[in-house]
Amino acid sequence: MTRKEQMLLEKRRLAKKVPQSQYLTQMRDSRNALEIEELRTCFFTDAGVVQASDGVSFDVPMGKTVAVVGESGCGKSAMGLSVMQLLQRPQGQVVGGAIRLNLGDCAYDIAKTPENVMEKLRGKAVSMIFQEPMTALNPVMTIGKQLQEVLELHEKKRATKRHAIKLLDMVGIANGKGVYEMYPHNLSGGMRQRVMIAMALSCNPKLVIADEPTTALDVTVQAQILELLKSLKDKLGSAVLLITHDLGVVAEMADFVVVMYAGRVVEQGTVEEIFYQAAHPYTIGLMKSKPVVGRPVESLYTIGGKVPNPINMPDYCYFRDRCDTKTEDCDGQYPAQIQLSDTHIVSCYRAFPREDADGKHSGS
Amino acid sequence: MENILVVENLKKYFPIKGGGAVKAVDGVSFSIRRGTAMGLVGESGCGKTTTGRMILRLSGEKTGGNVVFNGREIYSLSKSQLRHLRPKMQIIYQDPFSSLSPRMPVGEIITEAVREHKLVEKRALDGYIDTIMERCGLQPFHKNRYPHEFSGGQRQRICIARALALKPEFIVCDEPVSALDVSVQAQIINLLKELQRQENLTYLFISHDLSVVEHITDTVGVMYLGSLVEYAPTQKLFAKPLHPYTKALFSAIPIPDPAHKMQRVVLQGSLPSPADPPSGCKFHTRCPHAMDVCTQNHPAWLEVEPGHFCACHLYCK
Repeated sequence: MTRKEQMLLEKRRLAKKVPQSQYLTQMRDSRNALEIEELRTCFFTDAGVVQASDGVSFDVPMGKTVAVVGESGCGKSAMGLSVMQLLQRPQGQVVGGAIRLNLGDCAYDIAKTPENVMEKLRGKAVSMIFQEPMTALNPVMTIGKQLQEVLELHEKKRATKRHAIKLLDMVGIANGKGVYEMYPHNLSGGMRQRVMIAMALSCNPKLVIADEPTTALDVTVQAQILELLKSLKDKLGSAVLLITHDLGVVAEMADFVVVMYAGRVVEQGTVEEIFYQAAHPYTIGLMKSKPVVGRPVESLYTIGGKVPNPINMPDYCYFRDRCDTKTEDCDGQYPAQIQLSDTHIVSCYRAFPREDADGKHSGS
Repeated sequence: MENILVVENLKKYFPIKGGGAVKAVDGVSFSIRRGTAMGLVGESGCGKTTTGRMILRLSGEKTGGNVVFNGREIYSLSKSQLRHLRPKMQIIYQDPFSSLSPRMPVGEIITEAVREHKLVEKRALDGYIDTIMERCGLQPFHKNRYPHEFSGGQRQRICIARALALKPEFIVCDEPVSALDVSVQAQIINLLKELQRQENLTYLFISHDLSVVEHITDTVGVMYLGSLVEYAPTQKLFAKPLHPYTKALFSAIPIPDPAHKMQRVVLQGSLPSPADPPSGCKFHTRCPHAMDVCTQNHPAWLEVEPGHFCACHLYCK
């Protein structure tokens, strides 16, 4: 892939008059809020092409929370930004696959949606809560104005102050009238994150992408924000795509878990399947390397080695060189996905049925 | 085992323009035995980092109290005496991205202070740095590289090597793993533990991640708005926290187990301003058990059980 291709993709994205048939599509299952299929996101850099998402597929059912976990650089944020079409352009481009967003009466394939249509979806049908509430808000605009801006763009011509204050009430800000007039620097981290949530939920989106929403916050504030997210999700019926590296947050919030490693999904399943019957050695290692309160160990498990260079990915399993349990099979090409149950999918040679019938490894 | 460090009623107020002061550290007392690790936990803004820096005399003059390190009050030392003491007490910072000079090769970063303090003979210096780097999991050929060529975990290893090269007795670890990924975190924690065993190091481990603190420390102090509210051996504290703030803090940690659904005490509101702390017990504005007495009197620092200290009116008789 070359720069030329990047320019072509960019041109297609900025095209003005694109017929609806190009980007309207059908959901595979109408109960899903989002379906991602074989998503490929690339960054065209001077050093080469980085495949940030390399054939990522998973579904987000309506009203459920799907958590995407992985270490920094594994492509989880790039995946989230692809869904929002907010990748750093023109270097970052969705080059293949489909991202189907369900709007009830119709479905959009975001991977093909041009920018001028995307503007109408972003913030209305799908919205995002960013990690850094310090930098995600505009420092020279009052909170009220920032909230009204979203509403004015998507809902009515002139959003009222009352509506904005109601939103602030909804996210548990007691002094809504006062905060309406304030600037972001007047607020604490937790309060700013509440404002971010209010903005994200102001148009009742079908899907909310929360990219590390509590990483920058203290544990006590994190607890407040998680409770808030949970209750609002149930109230509004939105689906949540939660991007995080904190397994504790995952266990508490998620219904389904997707584990990513080096741009690929290595394992996915329900939260119980991932925590109790983890099958991929990376998932198991991730769980073991985190100290848990009340479960003392002499020394923590560590995953040796490091993530392969993203520019020259090997053609065998990306995790092979760090894996404790590799077998001769692992020298072969990248392992295919194995279905362990209706929901539990893993990409690992150890899970192939002919090796051990039950396909289970001890999780802890 | 003797105490390597005794902190008595330490205070640090930062003056505010136009009057008043931020009481960042307001009467903190504890002691650390040689070869053990003490944890300091609390929300951001509670003064735990300032306490760490005060102990090393890195935050200007104290407002009150004493810091006695190896039997000497460090705030009464002259400049040259303090300089002699510096190698014995080191600090590892939270952010390995901003605590390394971007223009210095790694070898120089680690060597500089050793050379300055003349801890190792010139001839042996190169070999000494190599062994230190190796012990911290770095390769000798990394010496000529610059910090930007390393990942976060590697950089934190450089910071540890820099501190370790001075043959310290006491290291303040200020959130050393907060900026790192889970799997890298585990490597750094294991490294810190191993070094402690080999060198009989003493740590003051500042962190907001309670699971890490439980793993690495022997005793823990919980801070709230510049004061210690509870202090106990780690096992005791985690088995039976006494102070309502500690309880709330513990119940806020998400447990990585989906069957463990939260029965949590969610604290309302946020940390009050340390420039104008509440009267009486500083925690009474957010405390679920607040009584009348809490708003008026400052609770005494009591030994509720042997070795387990707590400042709360619930335990005053």
